[in-house]
Amino acid sequence: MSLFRNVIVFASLLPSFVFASTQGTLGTTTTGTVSISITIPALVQVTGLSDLTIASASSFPVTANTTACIYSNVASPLGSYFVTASSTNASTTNFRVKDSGTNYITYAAYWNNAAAATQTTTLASGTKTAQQTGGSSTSLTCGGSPNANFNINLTAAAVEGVPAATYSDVVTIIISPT
Amino acid sequence: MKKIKRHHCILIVILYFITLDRTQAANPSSTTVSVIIPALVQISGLSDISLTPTSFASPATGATTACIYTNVLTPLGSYYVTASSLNASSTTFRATNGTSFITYNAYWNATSSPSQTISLSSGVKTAQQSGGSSSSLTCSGTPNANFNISLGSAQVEGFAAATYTDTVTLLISPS
Repeated sequence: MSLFRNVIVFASLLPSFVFASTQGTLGTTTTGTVSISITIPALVQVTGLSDLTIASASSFPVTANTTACIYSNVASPLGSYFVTASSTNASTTNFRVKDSGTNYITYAAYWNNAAAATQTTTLASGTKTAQQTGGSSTSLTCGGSPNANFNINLTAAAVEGVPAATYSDVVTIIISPT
Repeated sequence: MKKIKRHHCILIVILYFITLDRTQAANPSSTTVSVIIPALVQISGLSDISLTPTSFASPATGATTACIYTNVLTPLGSYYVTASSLNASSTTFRATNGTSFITYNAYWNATSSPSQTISLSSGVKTAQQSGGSSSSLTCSGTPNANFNISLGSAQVEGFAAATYTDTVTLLISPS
């Protein structure tokens, strides 16, 4: 009996939103209420990426970059996110391009949480970075101004001994709130 | 003298019974009962609505069915709806996390399906709806109306991850 009484007391203390909707009664007018709950989860988006092309690498090191727009509504800190870049031709965590045969060239990849092509954060293929800041929390298009940069670097040592050919890779960039 | 008094008493008793009989005869044998039933309405069967948009690609939606009883004659089963958002700005439905307000769209449908048939403005009475039950306060267990909301990507954009709440009051009236 004591347990039953405790349950009743506990139920009466529950927040009103638990049983928020109310029903009307018969009358000349009638009123019911509906509780609305909208949970916006942490949402992220990456846009504005371009392909990177090194037309003819004759002087090293050579670099290429693409800016990006990162939208993030993560609250703490606002606009923060994590990056995981993965090379299709990776060898463990090394980014690699590949020719039509079996030749590979290793290259370095970097992330910068601003539009400049700075080698700020060294990326390891398939490995999530530390938390980045600087994403737009207000505009899916970043108000037209990129706020991040993905860039690569190819050294002379990396191309030593590889045959002349066209090498390519696809890098998947995952932006996550955590 | 005693005889006169006795006669008076007998006369009074006779007159009493005659009067009593006439009174009973004057009472009506039936009574007219008049009951005026006004236009009556009732809304029931409402549930809370929770929605979680997980993508910018398509709007998030949520709905609750309802049972509308109405004895309005012209047309039978008709009614009006006035939906009011607790956090409204003018006629715009809004939910809040305490600091920010997110706008959402609200709709009424005069059947149980969550169709966006009538676009609602907070605090504004709709046109006359039909389809209410005129025979059962419980709609015989089958909902006959739907209140539903939607949240588009443009409405989510720029809002921090959080839970936003609102309370919508649905007023059903016969006119």
